[in-house]
Amino acid sequence: MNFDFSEDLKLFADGLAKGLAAACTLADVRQCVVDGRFHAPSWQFLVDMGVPALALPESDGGAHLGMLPLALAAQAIGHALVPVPSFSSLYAFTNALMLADAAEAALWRHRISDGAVLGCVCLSVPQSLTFDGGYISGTSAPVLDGDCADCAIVLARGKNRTFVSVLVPLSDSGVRRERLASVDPSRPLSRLHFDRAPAILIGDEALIEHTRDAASVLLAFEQVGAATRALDITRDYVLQRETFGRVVGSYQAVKHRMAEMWCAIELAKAHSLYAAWALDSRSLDLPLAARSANAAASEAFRFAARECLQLHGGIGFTFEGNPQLFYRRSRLYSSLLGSPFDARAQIAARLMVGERPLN
Amino acid sequence: MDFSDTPSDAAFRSRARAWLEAHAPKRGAGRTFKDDMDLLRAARGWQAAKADAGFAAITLPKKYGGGGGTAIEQVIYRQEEARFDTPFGVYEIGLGMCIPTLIEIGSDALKERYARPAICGKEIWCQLFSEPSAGSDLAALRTRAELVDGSWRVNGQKLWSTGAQFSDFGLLLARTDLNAPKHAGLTMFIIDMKAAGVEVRPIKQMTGEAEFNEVFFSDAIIPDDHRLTVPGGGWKGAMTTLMFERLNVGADIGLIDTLGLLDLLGTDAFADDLARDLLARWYLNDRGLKLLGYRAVTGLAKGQMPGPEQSITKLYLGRQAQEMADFVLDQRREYGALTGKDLGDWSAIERAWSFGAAMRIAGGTDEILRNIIAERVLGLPSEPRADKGVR
Repeated sequence: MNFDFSEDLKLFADGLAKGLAAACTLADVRQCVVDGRFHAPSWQFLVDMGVPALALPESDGGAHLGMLPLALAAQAIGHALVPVPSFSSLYAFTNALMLADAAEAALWRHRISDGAVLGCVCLSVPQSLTFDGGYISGTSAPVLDGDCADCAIVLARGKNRTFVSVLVPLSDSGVRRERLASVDPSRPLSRLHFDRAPAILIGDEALIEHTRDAASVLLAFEQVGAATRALDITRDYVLQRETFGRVVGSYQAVKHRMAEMWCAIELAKAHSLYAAWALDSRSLDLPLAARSANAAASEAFRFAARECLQLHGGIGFTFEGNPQLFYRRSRLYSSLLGSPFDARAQIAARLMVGERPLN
Repeated sequence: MDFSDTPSDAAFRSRARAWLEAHAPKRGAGRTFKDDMDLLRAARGWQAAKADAGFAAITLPKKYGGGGGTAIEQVIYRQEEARFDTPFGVYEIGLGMCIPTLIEIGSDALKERYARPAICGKEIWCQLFSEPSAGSDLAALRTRAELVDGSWRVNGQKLWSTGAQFSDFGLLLARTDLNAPKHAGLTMFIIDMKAAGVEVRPIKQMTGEAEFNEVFFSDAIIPDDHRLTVPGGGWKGAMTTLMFERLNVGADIGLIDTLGLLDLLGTDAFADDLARDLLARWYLNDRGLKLLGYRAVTGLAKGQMPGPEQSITKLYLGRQAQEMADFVLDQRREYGALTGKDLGDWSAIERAWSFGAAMRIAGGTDEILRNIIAERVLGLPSEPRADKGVR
C-alpha cells in the first residue's frame, strides 16, 4: 500500500507553489477581477516551468509524465488562487486532444505544449449545436476562456442523433464570441456562436466523456488547493482579530467551524488522490472516482469559501476583502461540470446498479 | 501509487485468510449471545486459538506471546477478520490499549507477569480513567491513591469502564499528589479487579444492555511494584494509552455503512432524487474515510505514527449512523417508532440509531474531537482554562 505522491513530485509541487505565490498575490487576483481577464504573468510562469507539456507525449513536444504531476500543479494553482486558463486549456483541452487521432489534433498538441496557444472546451450540447459535412453551426453553453482561446473542442449533434467531438479553430470568420457576465470575472465566460465554422471530427461522445472525467479530477485538485488557502487565510485572520479581549480564533464556535472545514477538505483530498490514481493508471474506477472527487471537492471548496467569508465578519463582504475572491471562484468552479448534485445523482445511479470501487 | 500488498504482506494476508477460513464462520446476520457468560466463553476460546496461531496482539513482542509483527499486518488481519463472525467486546480494550501501554512503560517483572496471560485470553483487562466529574476533562479526576506503608491505598470512583464487570485487571489513573497542578499529580497503576475494596456495578444503558460500569474503590490496596509510572507521571502514561488507541486504524465499529444500507434496503428505497442524493453523500463520506485509512496505512508503512487527524472517522460515522437510521425509520412512517421484534428485521438500523448516539460520546465527544483538530492540527488557541494552576 502506497497511497501518496512520490517525494520527487512533492518537491516539484513545492517549487511551483512558491513560484506562483511570488507571481500572484491575492491583490493581483482582485485586480484580475476588476480587469476581467486572467493573470498573464502567472500563466507565463507555468509555461516557463513546462506545465502545459507535462502530460503530453514526447512526439508532440511533451514530457510524457502522466497525470500525477499535472494534478499537483493544479493543487498549487488552486492554492495561489491564480486566475489562469487551467480548467479550459490545461485540463480539458489537453486531455481531449490526447485522445484524438486526427493529424490536426497532433498539430494542436504541439502548439499547446509550449504555451503558444490556449484551448477551451464545450462539454454540454445545447439543442441547436450541430455538426454536418465538416462544419459546425449553433450556439454553445457558457464556455470558460472562450474569449481568449485559439481553439475549442466541442461536443455537437452529428447525423442520426449521434454525438460527435469536433475541433474548431476559433480564428475563423464563422465564429463569433459573446462575452457573458461571469460571477468571477477573472475567469471569463463566453458564448460561442458558430455559423458554418470549419470543424474537424476527432471522436465520438466517449472522447468528451473521458475529457469530463479527466478535467473533473484535475479541477478537484485545484478546488482542494483553493479550499486549503481559504482555510489558511481564515486561520491568519482569526488569530489576529480580537473581540471581547480575546482573539476570535479562541472561541469554540469558530474553532469548531474551522475543524469542519478541515475535515471536508481532507475527505475531498482523499477522493481526489484516488481519482488521480484512477486517471493516471487508466483504471475502470475512473468514472465513479472522478465524480466522487468532483462532488467532494466542489462542496469542500464552497463550504470553505462560505465560512471563510463568514468568519471574516463585515470585511469579508467588502470588495477590498479577500474572501470574496474565494466565494466567487468556488461558485464558478462548481458549475463547470454541471453541479455537485448531478455528480451525486450519477454516483448513486452507479452504486444502485452494483458498481463498487476496485480498491 | 500502489494499492497492492508487498510480497511479505500478501503472504501474511493469505496466511491469515486461510487460518480464518479454517477456524471462523463467515459473517452472516451476526451472532447473538445469551449473556456475558456466553460471550465470555466464546471470546476466551477464540482468543486462545488466535494466540496459538500468532494472530493475537500481532504487533506485540513474541517473547510475551504476541505476534512480533508490524502495524500493517495488524491492519491486514483486522480487514480479514472483519469478513468473519467472531466474538467482539471482551479483549479489545486490554490488547488494544492496556497491554501495549504496559509493554511500553512497565517494569520487566510486570511485563513477564501480565502480558502473556492477557494475550492468550486467560486474563481480561479494562481501563479505569473516566470519573463522574472527569470525562472530557480527564485530568480533573479525583480518585486518590496514597502511599501507606509502602503500598498504595485507593479510594474513589470510576465511571464508563467498559468490560469492568468481567475484567481481572485494570489500568488505573489516580491522583497521588493533591498539591501538584492537576496534570502533574497523577500516577498510573495496575489494579487487581478482584481485590478487596474494589466493587463493580454495571450501568444499564439506554439500549437495556450493560457494557460499561461504575467501579468503586474503598481502601483497595495496590503494591508499589504495580505502579506503572513515576509518581506524578500518570498523564504521560495516559497519553501513551491514547496513542495506542489511535493505532486502531480501520477497526470495525459494527455500525451499518452506506453500501450495507443499500444492500439491506434495496434500490426501491432510493427511488427519488433526494433519497439518491443522501445515498451519494453518505457514500462519499464512507468512501473518503476509507481512503483516509489508506493514507494512514501508507504513513504507518513509512514509520509515521497516526496523529490527532484520526479523529475524523469518529466525527463522521456516529452522526451518519443516526441520519441513516432516521432515513429508514421515516420511510416506515407510523411503524418507524416500533422497536425490537415489533420493528421487524431491522436490528442493524436500531443499532445505528442507538449506538450512533453512543459513538459520538465514547472515546472523546464530537465537541472534544473538534477542539483537538482545531488546536493540534490548525494551531488555534486552546480553550480558556479556568482551572489553570488549580490544585
